[in-house]
Amino acid sequence: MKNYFIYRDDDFQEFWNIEQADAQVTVWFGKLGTDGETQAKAYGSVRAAEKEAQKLIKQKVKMGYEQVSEDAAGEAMGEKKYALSYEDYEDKGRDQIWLGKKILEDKRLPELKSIIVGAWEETYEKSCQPILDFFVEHKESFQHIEGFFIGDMEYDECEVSWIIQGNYERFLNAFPNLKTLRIKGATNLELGALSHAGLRKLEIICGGLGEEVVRSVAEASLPNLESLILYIGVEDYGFNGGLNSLRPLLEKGRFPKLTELGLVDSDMEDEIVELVLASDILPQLKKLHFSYGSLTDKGGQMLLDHGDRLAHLELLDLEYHYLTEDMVERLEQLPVEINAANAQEPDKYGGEVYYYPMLTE
Amino acid sequence: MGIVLVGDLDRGSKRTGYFLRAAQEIGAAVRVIPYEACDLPSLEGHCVKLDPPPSTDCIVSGLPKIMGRYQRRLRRLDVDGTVYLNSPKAILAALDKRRCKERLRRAGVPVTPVLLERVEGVEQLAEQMRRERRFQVFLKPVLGSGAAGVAAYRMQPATGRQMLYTSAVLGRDGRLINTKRMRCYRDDACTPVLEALVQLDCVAECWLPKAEADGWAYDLRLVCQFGVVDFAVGRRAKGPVTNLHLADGAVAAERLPLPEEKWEQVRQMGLGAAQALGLRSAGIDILLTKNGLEPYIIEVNGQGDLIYQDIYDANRIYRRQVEWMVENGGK
Repeated sequence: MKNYFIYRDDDFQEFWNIEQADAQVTVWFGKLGTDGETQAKAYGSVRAAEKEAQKLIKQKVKMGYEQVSEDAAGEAMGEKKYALSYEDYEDKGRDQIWLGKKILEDKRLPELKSIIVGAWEETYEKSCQPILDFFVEHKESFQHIEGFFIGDMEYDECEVSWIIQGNYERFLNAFPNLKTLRIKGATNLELGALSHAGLRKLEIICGGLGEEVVRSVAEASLPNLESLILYIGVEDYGFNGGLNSLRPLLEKGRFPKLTELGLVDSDMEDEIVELVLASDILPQLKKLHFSYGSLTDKGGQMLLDHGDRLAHLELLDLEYHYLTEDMVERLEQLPVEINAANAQEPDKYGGEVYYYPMLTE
Repeated sequence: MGIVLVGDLDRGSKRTGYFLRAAQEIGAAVRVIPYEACDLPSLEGHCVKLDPPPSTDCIVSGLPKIMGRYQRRLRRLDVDGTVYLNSPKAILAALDKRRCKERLRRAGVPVTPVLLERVEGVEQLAEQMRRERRFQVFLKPVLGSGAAGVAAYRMQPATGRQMLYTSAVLGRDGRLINTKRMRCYRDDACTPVLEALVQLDCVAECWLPKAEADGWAYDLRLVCQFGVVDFAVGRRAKGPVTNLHLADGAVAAERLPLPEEKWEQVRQMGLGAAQALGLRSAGIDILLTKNGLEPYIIEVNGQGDLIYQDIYDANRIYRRQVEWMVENGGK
């Protein structure tokens, strides 16, 4: 459960958000318009976490913070989502160019910091290339935008692996001020010759990451990249490069400023743990995510065995995992903050055991 | 003259137990009769509420037979001389999803669009989906309530890929069994399950993306009684099927990010639907579309009055029913 709060008076404009998931409570807060900071804390039980979350919420309300919806919180932070509704595309025949014009004509555009693009028309069949090209064509109106998220859709709008993406090479070249790029869906996704001096965060959310995209990232020139989150996914949904294709991402100095790495949502999460532990990228990292995949005690044991190499981390994120309770307890003894929320049970069906990553189920 | 509840004899059942509790608080006597022992003479001259029969079977494939028997029972009770909270006729009209939607459409109440009135086979369904360019649908047994036998199915036209979400699994004997867990079948694995589902006499409805609150998709359940909305609750789910009785969470109406004019629109729709079907008490499921918040009625249930958030709190829904029944002959 996530809750969003905003405080405003003549001197201060602050946000404070809280999420309680299982026994974990995460808060992120700061001045409106900044990224703010994030703090996560694990409690002994779900009930203890709930109690603490309620206590914190009460405190904030007493201090004059007002609870707002997720959308309102996003807007206050300078972020706005644009998407076609069912009526837009079924009854009114609207398409992504209509959506692009709507964004361009939005009076709030000059004050926005990030733009989220949700469903366009027939996402399972039509690429988002037209709206990417639209942004490029009107690039002078979007130079102040620091973050784009293209393809923010839930599974009831489109299967993540069916979202048809586009080519981002021209798009990235047109927006040198861009700091954050999030992309959902990897079918037909092309990053091309990726070179961007401003980009701080890159996240690709998908059910299976294609070899070409991995290569584009591995060969990219992103000297200021601080955070790289890649959903690896499964072979069935497009992960066709094998684990070896990920190796070049993990070379020391590949991304000199990188402090946050996530190779997540894989059905080979244990092997990814092994790969990362054997790489020389570890010392520069502060946050490491092996979340949303099929992490089992095998990977858990490797993390335990290499605890000394992880001790410098601020966060080891294992959310959504297949670890046993015993293993989670032992991992929590490591001298590093661990997020082990959202434990999964393997699916036993027809005499077989299945460990599904989060985004492929 | 008295109040008769036809349903589950077991006072531990929530429907029976909380209805009796409401009656006791008001000081009204209620006789509970199970369906097996229920005939016309036992009801004549009384004020009667018909609860759904207790479900005992998790074999989804048996649903048409069970529901057919239930329909016949209700039809037999449909005679003059008895005052019903909801008449057998009105309950029957809501029970049949085809008839229910037809009535609502004619009354000008917006319903989730139907792609195929009668699914006769998997191939016919696929053809219709391609023809209408509607590539995601809900399959729902025409008779039946709750999530039993409901499936969400979609295809990607260019690749022929398929996805099927349902809580039903195929047993060894080829029969469909309902479970408490949503499952996902992909591509060729969809076919045998689909084949079994379409045997249930299904309606195919367009699968519209639902509005979200705090990262959860939700729809609304309204209980409309005697021209008033007695209860509204959000039902949320991470999977495609929101149902109060699967393990998904309910969310209080006031926690939903809906402006008052939207609530008013939704309330009027609910009341209009209950009236169009001749139901004095109706549980009404309403979908709001994602990004647009346009409301559509998903289904109406003439016995959809069990709301945990109400029985554990004011028990207002059952109390109002008893009050009405007392006023209308059930002394």
